[in-house]
Amino acid sequence: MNNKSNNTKTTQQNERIVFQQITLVVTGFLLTFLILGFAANIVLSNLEENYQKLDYLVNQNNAKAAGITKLSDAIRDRMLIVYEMLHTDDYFELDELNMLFSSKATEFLKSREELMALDLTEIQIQELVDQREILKKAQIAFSEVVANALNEKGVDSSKLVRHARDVNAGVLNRLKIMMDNQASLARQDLLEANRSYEETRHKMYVLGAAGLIMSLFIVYYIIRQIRTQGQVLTHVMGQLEDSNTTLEKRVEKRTSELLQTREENTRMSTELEIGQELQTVILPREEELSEIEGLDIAGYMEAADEIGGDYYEVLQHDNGAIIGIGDVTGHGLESGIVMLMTQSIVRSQTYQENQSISSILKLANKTIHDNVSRMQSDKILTLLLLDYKRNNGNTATITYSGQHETILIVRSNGELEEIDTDEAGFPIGLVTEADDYFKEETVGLQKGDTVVLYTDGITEAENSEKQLYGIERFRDVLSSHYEKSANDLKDCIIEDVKAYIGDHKVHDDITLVVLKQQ
Amino acid sequence: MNLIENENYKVAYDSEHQSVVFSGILRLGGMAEYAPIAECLEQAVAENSELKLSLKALEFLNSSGIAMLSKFVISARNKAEFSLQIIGSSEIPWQGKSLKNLQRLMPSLSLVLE
Repeated sequence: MNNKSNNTKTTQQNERIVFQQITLVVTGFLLTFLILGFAANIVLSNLEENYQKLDYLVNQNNAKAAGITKLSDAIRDRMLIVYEMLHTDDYFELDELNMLFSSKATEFLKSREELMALDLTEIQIQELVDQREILKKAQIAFSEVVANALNEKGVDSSKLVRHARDVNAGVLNRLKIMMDNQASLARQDLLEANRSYEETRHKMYVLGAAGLIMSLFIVYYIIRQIRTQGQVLTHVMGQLEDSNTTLEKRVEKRTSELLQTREENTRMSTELEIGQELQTVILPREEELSEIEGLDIAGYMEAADEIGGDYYEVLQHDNGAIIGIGDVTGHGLESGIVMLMTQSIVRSQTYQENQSISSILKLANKTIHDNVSRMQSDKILTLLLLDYKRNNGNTATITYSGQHETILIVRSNGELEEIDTDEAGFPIGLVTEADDYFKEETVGLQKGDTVVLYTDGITEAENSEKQLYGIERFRDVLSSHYEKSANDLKDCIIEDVKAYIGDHKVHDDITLVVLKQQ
Repeated sequence: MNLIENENYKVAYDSEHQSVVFSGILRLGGMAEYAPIAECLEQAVAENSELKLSLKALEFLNSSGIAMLSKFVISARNKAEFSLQIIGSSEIPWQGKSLKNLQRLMPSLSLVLE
């Protein structure tokens, strides 16, 4: 689930980053476009302005030049007309020339008016005003010359013509200066226009460079953003990969652990089953128990799920029987094996005539100790052996050896004896040098006496409040039911223990052997 | 102070006070796992002529542990003029019989059940 949600999260993150990158690129382009457009607009409007200015200047210049030329032409024409008038005698020609002379004056005035309408400098205006006075004088002179010519007073006119010619030459000269001035002004305007153009070009360079720098900056910013996001993405991907790898490893490890645990469980459960099987398969059979002369015997064993390793044995011999009860530590296969070995040792030794039970225990101690060491195991066991020997009549003796739980004897009169076995033996398999600790003790039995052997599965049985069944309760049950047959007594005890445990878990094997002297 | 411990148990050898104090639950798997504790006890035997072993806070000791203690007691028994005292608790079920067995392995052992 975590992986899936991580993937969804990463996909969302990727989409967001892609969107951001697209936005950045588009924004970058728009900004670059805007800047360059702005720069181009400024440059174009500057160029347009310069062009208009230049166009105006050229037009003005041309118009002024044309005006001044017209003025000069009119004056020159009039001078030529005057000359022609002086050298002709034909009245009609004179009249025609006079009319032409007047029209040229009109032409002059018209040109002058046109020139005045132009964008003139103050000096130029002043010049034209000054010329007006001069020209007025020349006009008077010319008019006199024309009148003389018309009145055929040619001789008197020569002086006047010279005077008028000089005046006109002065005007022409002034007009030439004016023309030169105008040309100089036009050059200045051109220079101005050039400077303005250069300025515009400079502006264009500056704006272009600024646009370029800004575009580069935007491109750099976008690239950096993309790179940063790329790094973030790589980092995230790396983390995701790491987490995936870790997850995979964990899954692998967990799977392997689970498999191992399952194998282990299977192995342990199999071992437990085998151990329980070993434990119960070698127990004495009902018919064997009933074959023991003089003794009413009942045996019971219930293997717990967890802890097993209880053992009991009844082996007939010529004069009675060897009865054993023991408890191997732990549970499972090893406990079962140790229990089997113990049974074999005990059984094999009973075939030896006059073999004492303490000798059997000493032998068992060494064998189990060495075998368990070889098995690299830590199993030990408590083992109590009883040698039941019939006497004449209904009496018998029981010799016991080995350290185990107490031996309970309920005499036929109800009197209960509890024999501590701690000093009669030693844990089997704990230390090799334990021969000194195995002692034998003997008790006599009368008809109706009951001997009860048990394992701690009974006294340490727990109820739901985790309180132990205990020896006292056990003794009470025995005291209440001792008169019953071995089997019935056994049933009473087991019933009571089970009732005590109730629904609570049975922790340990429960083993009980009841022997009743008949 | 020599300390062997994990979350379940603690074994502390105090050479100054010539004592080894056990506490918790000892359920190690086999003699191999008990080796560090066994070595610590051997060292305590070698370094002292008197030793006090406190087991009253040791709630549980499995059979390997009992075997380890038994071997330790035998080794202590074999050392000349060595005095060993074991303090146990009469309220902990495993201790009564097992500690008495230790005493049987070494009759000079002073056993105190509190």
